[in-house]
Amino acid sequence: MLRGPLEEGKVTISRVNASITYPSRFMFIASMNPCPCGYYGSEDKECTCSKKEIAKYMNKISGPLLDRFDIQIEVTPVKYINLQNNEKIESSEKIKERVNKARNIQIERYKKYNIFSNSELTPNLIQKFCNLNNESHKLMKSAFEKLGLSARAYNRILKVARTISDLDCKEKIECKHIAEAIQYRNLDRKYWKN
Amino acid sequence: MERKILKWYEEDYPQKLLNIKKYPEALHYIGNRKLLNNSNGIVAIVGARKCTEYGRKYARIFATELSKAGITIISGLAIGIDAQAHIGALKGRGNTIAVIAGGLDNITPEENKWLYNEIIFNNGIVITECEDEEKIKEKSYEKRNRIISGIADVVLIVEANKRSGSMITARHAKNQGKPIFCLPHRLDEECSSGMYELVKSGATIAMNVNQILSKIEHKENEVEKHNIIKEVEIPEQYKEIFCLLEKEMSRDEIAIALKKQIAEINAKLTIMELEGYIKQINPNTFIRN
Repeated sequence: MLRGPLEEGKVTISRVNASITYPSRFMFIASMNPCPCGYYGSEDKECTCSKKEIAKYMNKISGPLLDRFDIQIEVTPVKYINLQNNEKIESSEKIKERVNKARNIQIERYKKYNIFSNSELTPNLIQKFCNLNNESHKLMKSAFEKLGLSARAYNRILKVARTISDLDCKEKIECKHIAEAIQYRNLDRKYWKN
Repeated sequence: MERKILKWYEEDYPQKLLNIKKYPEALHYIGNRKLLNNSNGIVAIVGARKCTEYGRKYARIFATELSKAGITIISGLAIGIDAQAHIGALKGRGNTIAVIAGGLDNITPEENKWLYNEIIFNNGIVITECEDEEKIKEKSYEKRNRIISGIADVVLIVEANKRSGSMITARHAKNQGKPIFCLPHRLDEECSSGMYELVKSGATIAMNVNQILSKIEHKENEVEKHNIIKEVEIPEQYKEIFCLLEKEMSRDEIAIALKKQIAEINAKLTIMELEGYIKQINPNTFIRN
């Protein structure tokens, strides 16, 4: 299964004669429809699926697997009017610059620790580099109580918040970074209960 | 709990039901039969399965407030508005009546089994005129709806399309001479044409709980003033988002409308939700709480 390799960055194959371990460090990106017909939550077209079908469809991804995605976001269909929208949008070129900057911050920060990026932080290093101030602690606490996030989500939110604050060129993780990171764990939450 | 049968000549049989044409001779039930003749009054809250967040919210609020005032809420255990009415009642005094369309062996829909258990557990009652093993047929819902309006003193229609089961309940209620209330709706909602039909044929627009209470011969003397719409104090930095979320909106729409970075909007949305000002109704959509 994917879960082991996702967590450890290694894949082990065991056969009669031998057991071999290969490196398996990859970035896992996936997409799915919200329901079998694809229109659940859409404004323009009505979804024809029953609640039961939607729940069944969502259950195809096990909770534990979903939990291991650092970022989960839902996107809405792009409307024609937005396709020809002339408002200035940040170009990919600009975004690349920002990403590279954040990346360099991370390489610099972790050079003594033999890792390159936030995603590789071990629980020990998370404690060292993802310190929260009181305000952020409070926010995390109430998010866990009210939004029903899983324990596994905790470290992942911290890592994503660390990355957001790197993109923001801030040394410390701020409350707004945590708040934004929490927003990216959408599918964790329980929606389809009436 | 045990399944029992209540015959029409028994004392606990809902007396108001005897006034309708073709009343069921026997009711199969599980739960607290005393509820069926609650002298404080019984209000039916019904509406569409596919409904808006607005409808769900007010179904719940009306149910809770009426229930707190001693009224029993009756509804049909369907998903959507019906479920919210029961949930609201459970939050109030706790007991509520569910009338189902099939036999007690066939509790549908599957999603609401938990609600069925909650209703019985909280001293409520689930009734039907069908034999235990009877399956739901095409006409079952229509027949069921006459029982809902028959037992109730007042019927509140929360949301109903022109041709829907809730309109049938309303028609039954009208024939049975019960006062009908309906929730005010926006013109751009699908159900508003149905609601307009109702008002045209004599229904009252429900603005608050007291209006409904005044239609019922109320035995409890001390009914507090109930205010449905709460004024909330919103911190300055969240006001613009809060104002927009009068109607449900996606995070992208909010960002475009306010010409702000999505990152900033996301951070604010989290905090606003945790503070209880707004809520997320599906992964991408938010609305005022």
